[in-house]
Amino acid sequence: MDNPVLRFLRFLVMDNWPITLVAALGFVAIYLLLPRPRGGARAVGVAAAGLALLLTGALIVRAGAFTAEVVLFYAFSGIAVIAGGLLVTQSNPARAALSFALVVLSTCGLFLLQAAPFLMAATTIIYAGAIVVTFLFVIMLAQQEGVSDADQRSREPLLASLTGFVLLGAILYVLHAGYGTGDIDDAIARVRQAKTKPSAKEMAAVFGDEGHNFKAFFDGFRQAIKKGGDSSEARALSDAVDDLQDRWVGKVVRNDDAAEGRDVCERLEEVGLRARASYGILQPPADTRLSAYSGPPANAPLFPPADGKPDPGALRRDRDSRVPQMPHENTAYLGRALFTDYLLAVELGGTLLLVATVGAIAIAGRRGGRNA
Amino acid sequence: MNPIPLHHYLVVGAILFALGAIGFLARRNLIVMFLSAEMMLQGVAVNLVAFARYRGNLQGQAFTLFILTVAACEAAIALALILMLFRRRGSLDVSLWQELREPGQEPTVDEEPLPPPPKEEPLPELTPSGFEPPAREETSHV
Amino acid sequence: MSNVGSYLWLIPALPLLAAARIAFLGPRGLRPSSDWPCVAAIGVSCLLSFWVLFAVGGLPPMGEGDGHMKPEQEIVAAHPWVHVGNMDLGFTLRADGLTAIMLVTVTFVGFFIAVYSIGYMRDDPGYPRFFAEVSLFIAAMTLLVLADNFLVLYAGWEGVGLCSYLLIGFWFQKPSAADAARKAFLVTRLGDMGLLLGIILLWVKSGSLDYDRVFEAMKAPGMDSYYVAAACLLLLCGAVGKSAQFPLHVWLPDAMEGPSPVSALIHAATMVTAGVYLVARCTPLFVLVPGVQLVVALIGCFTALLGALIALTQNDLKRVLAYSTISQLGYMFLGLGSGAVVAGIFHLFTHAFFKALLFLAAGSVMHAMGGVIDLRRFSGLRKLMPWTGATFLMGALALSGFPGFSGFWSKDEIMAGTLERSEAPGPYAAWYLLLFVVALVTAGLTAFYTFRAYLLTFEGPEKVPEEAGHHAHESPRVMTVPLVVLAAGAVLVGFMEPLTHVFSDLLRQHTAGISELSPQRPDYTVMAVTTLFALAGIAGAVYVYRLRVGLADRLARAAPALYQLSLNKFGFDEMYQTFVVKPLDGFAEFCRVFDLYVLDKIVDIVGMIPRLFGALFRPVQNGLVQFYALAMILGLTVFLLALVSKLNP
Repeated sequence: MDNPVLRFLRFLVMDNWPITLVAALGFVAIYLLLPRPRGGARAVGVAAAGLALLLTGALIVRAGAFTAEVVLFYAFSGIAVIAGGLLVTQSNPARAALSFALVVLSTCGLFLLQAAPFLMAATTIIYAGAIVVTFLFVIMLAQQEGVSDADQRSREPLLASLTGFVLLGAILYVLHAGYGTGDIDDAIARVRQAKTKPSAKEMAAVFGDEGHNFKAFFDGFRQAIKKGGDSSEARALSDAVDDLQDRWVGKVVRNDDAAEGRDVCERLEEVGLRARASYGILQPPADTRLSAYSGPPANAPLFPPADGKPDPGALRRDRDSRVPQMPHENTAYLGRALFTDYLLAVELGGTLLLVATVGAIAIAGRRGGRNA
Repeated sequence: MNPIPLHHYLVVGAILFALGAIGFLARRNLIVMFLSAEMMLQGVAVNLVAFARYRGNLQGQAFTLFILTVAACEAAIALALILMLFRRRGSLDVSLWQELREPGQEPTVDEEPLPPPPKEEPLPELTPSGFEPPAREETSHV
Repeated sequence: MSNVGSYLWLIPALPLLAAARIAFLGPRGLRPSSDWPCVAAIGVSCLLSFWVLFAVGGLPPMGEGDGHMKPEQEIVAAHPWVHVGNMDLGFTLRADGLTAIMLVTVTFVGFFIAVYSIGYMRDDPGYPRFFAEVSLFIAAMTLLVLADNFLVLYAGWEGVGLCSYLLIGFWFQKPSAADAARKAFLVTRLGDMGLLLGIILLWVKSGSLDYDRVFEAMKAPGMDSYYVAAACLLLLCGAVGKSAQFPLHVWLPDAMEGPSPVSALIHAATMVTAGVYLVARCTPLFVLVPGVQLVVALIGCFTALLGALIALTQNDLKRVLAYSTISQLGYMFLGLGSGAVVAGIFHLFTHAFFKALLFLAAGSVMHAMGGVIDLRRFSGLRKLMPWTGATFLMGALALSGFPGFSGFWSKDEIMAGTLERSEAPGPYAAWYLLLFVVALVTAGLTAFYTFRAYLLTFEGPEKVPEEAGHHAHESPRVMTVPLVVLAAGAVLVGFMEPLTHVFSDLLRQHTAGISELSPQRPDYTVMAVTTLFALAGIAGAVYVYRLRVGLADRLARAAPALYQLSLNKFGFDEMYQTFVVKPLDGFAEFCRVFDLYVLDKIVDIVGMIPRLFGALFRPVQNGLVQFYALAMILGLTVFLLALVSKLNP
């Protein structure tokens, strides 16, 4: 399976066929629903869209584990995606603008879920409040008599939707390859399972096969760590797994020491969670220079050094997942960051706004007749 | 309990981005094309905010703010330009602007005619009530 | 006077400046007054040339038999030019006796011809162009004679060739003029090729291009005389082309398509003598190989006879003069080939005066006759144009070698030189005796055809062609004054040598190489014999064309073959046409067809490939914004997929 194309196809058709199916239905729906002079198979498109939504819902329900956050996440993203589809397929530009407002509002919900309340407010005000309204004004100003080519036709609907979905597939594949946490989640689950066993033998049975071959498990663990990027952090964690493997083979299995085994399991779990929290092939560059006003910089080590001394500047982390928690005074931090580290960019942004205002007035204010 | 993993947000961003791309490629109304481009920006913003969340810092959010700024400028200029274009051709159809093609290349035109616009539903009329005023005499002003 | 060397560069530079000035300002700014920069520049150059002449004459003389010049004996202006590897070339100008004589001849005659042109070219639309080209010519010619190495000489050589081409084709709207210009250029190019090869051979063999060093190296005992002979023959080839000697003489008669002052200046007085100058300059080489000297003499003598024979029957006055020029140049070559270098250069000098005079007088006639130059269409013009007639007679007497006139002295010296060579103990003595006899006969023929032209034009009943209209009168003062000056020269300059020995002194004592030749004593027997032949020729012409009118026609009818042969210029043009031009035309046609139907097609096919590719991809450029966006997004997708292929999920 060295052929990348074959690998890509296998990823699409065999490993993740439900998602591929949903995407294919979405493609059919978008393709059929794009505006056309003759209605076309619009009903089929609607049916495909409905089917895709149903399938997605089923997939979500199957995954289970509903917390408030998960429900909100799915709600907001679902609304955003549906409204996005409506925006693309709606032939009336005014309705498309309203769909866009819906997209923006649900994205704002997602922002809120991600501890960005200021952004939520700003986006709502700027996009939904200002830009969409301006759009509606322009739609009103530039209203054509009767039906127009612009709204009733699409330029190459098949080619466009195909391109869009191939792009989506490529992005999903990259995300899966670089950010998918399935392997490390499996490994953590096995460690947690082993931790609950009373004796070292049973623990070993969870890790290895009958012949006490633990090498496969530890190799898989290391591979799962390294999949999330070849950062210094990942290398350190991988080394930690080496030590734990030695302890496991040298002390736990040989001496049948259950307490030692539990300790190794706990440490393995810690390593796994840390790896999971720093997952991703895109890592911030190591030399980003930022002041303390902006909170912990992107290149700050996510975890205190290995010698175990408590670091007063370290991030507070979620107890279960080791994911860092955002500071409570979120907006204050953002403001401080903007007016210290990003001051020049803010000033430039302001200048840009001024220039854009002048430009817009100069362009739109010009009196030119048709065909001028 | 694990929170929603990072890549879930990234997938939402990717879907918004791809939908926006389809809209930009397929739709011919300048305004809808522009809305689609804005939706692509929204997808990117979701990505950046998610990254910020999972690195535990605010740099992604700061970046999103600048995206907002640029998007506002862009909207102002683009809408002004769209108005200009509309004044020139009397239509928002982007396909009317294809002068950049190779010399000798035939312009791309739509062959299929548009269906006639749907008939306006006649407004309901109420039966008049009360007296009918008497018709006034036509007086000559000659 | 010793600092004259630092002013040498002005002599070519002033006319060059004038040429540039007229060329750039003439058509717009100067238009009617574009003559004065030319005349002024040539005039100043002429004065400078005289200064150079006196300065050279005032230098301490070289000792007899000493070929080397001491620093105090030369006037040099050296400017570094090319310094590549072991090649060290200076843009060096040098004035010695030979150069000084040439300079004075060129600028003096050139000055009066330029003055004459003011009147002659007055109404021509190309007035500024004419003077620009004449100035350029003077610049190139003075550069040619001032050169101290072969490369600078070659630059001047090509420069005068270019000017000759431009001036022959001055009336380029006339197909015959354009053809004549092309012919002159191509024929002289044959010779120039030889000159270039000769220069390269000299450079290869001697490692230098400076005259002194080349001559020194070729004289060295180790040098193979075959190389010297080959170099001399190649140089001779150039000289033959430029000086219109047999077999490359065919271009000169056609060159008469140019304006008459041009014929006088370039194709009689100066440029055509460049070949003579070259051979004279290279005398140190030629004396090393007596065989080549004999070739020079043979070519010269044969050309002299040939030119005279053809000139006998031509009806075009300017053509008669052209063939006479060829003939006289032949005399000069005869002199050079016989070792009588002084005589040859002396003849060059006198010939410049009387031939320029004859051409200008012919131009004056042509001017008056409204462009008609056919001898049969006019006669008895002496009373109409007294000045022109009188000066033409002076020129004719000089050309015929009438005693006392300049041609007499110089031609006589050549004869004497040839005879002396035949008596001297050396190889090929018998040949030189034969050459002497032929030259004598030619002298008689020369006198005959010269007076035929004079008598037919100026004597007899007055007859004027109708083209002349109201022009049929004497030319304006600006044209007659130069005629008179040149006529005075034609009469008087001959006395300079026998009375003052100024030529012998200049050449023997102030010119490297020539000094080694033995001095020449006046030979009164030869003088008497040549005078006899010249008088016989004149008398014959008077008898045939004046006393027994009609005898000429009867003679022509009596020997029609001979007459036709002479009239048709011995068929050289036809011969070249058949054996050179036609085969080359055929080859050119073949090349054309090959190019048109083979090469062009191949090129077309090669050119079609990108066109096809373009047609393939052109529909992509349909001007629709969304297609371009599509291409962008496809590119992004491809980039992502390439990234994906590196990842291992």
